[in-house]
Amino acid sequence: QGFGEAFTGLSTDSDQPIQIEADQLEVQDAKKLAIYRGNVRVLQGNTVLKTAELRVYYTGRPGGGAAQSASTSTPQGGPAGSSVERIEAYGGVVVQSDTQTATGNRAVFEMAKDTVTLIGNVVLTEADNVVRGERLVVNLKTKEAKVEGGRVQTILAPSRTEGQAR
Amino acid sequence: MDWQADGTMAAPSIGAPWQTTKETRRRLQRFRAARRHSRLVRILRRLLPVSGVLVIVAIGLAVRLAAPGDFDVSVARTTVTRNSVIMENPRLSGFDRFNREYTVTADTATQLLSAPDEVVLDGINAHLILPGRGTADVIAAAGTFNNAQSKLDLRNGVEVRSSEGYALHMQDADIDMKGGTLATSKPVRIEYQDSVTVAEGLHVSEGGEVIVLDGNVRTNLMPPKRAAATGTGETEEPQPGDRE
Repeated sequence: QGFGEAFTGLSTDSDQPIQIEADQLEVQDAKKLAIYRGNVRVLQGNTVLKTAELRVYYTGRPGGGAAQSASTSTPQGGPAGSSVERIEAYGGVVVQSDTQTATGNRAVFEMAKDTVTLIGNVVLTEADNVVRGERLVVNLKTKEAKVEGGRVQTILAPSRTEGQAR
Repeated sequence: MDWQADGTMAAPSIGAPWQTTKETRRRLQRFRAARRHSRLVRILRRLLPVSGVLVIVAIGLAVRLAAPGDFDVSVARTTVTRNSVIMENPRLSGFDRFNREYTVTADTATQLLSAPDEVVLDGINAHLILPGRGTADVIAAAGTFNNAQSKLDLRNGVEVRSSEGYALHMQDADIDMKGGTLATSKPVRIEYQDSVTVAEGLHVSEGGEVIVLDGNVRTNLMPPKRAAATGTGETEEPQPGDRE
């Protein structure tokens, strides 16, 4: 199924603005690193990512990072697009969009490759379907999702049972 | 302090440009000690204003976080009243020990005789070269510099714009020159390239290397592709987070 859908909102392709909320933000300029801590929520479209700590690695150059990705390599560095290269979420991650939820220990967004990887007791639920595994790799552009590692256990709830615990 | 032929007191000679902070502190301490103890000085403090140069030096120290290098000073007009010294359009420019140029101007700088360690400034504008990160302009409506504690409190709206694309808007800012820190507990807004971040307070340390925002931090940013996709030269100004 389209478990990748859960992440569509967080794709760098979508043109919706991203909002990040947290209790605290620490910017370490020398390392080009911004750390959001405390009730961190990343919202884009109807997708919400919740975690304890979010580390944003950016490049000093405007339009760096993502702009260099193959598909939109704008030679002159392009307009000052967000120069975020990589985002890491720690301390438990929950990603929710309309019908799906994905959880794991941590997540890594690779802007250039447009992928997000959820790592550590990954659980995906969509309505009654549950998939468990060690890692989930989602290509944000193609929406393709692969669950890897550990015992990939898929529980497909039979469609007509009552009282199915949601 | 030496008397001049015409009976007026000569400004304390600063002599060769100061080489190092220790040198500066020792010189200042010696000067302050001399000022405090000698009866002559106490009398003079009441009769004659502290020399204008010292005031300007205080401003220079105020903004220049690194040890002062050599500098030059110009003042449009100095007005001496019974209880204060008022500098108009003081302008201080110089080079710090990394040979980076800085310029500090203010509309006026006022030093009350009763509190010689404090300089009240308004219309402050400083242009600084940041270590390794381009230049920054600091604009503040008003401020008070305390020479003894080397603290600069900026008030009534403070803006810091850096050539790196940062713009920092604050209502006030308390700068500790020695500690190299800047702090405010009032709402802050930071624009960086295409992102806007707001928070309820801010603390900058290590001369700007580490910036911590506290309380309801909200960042709004546009995904990179969108700016590239639209191909427009400039990026749309993202509307600030509507949710407070």
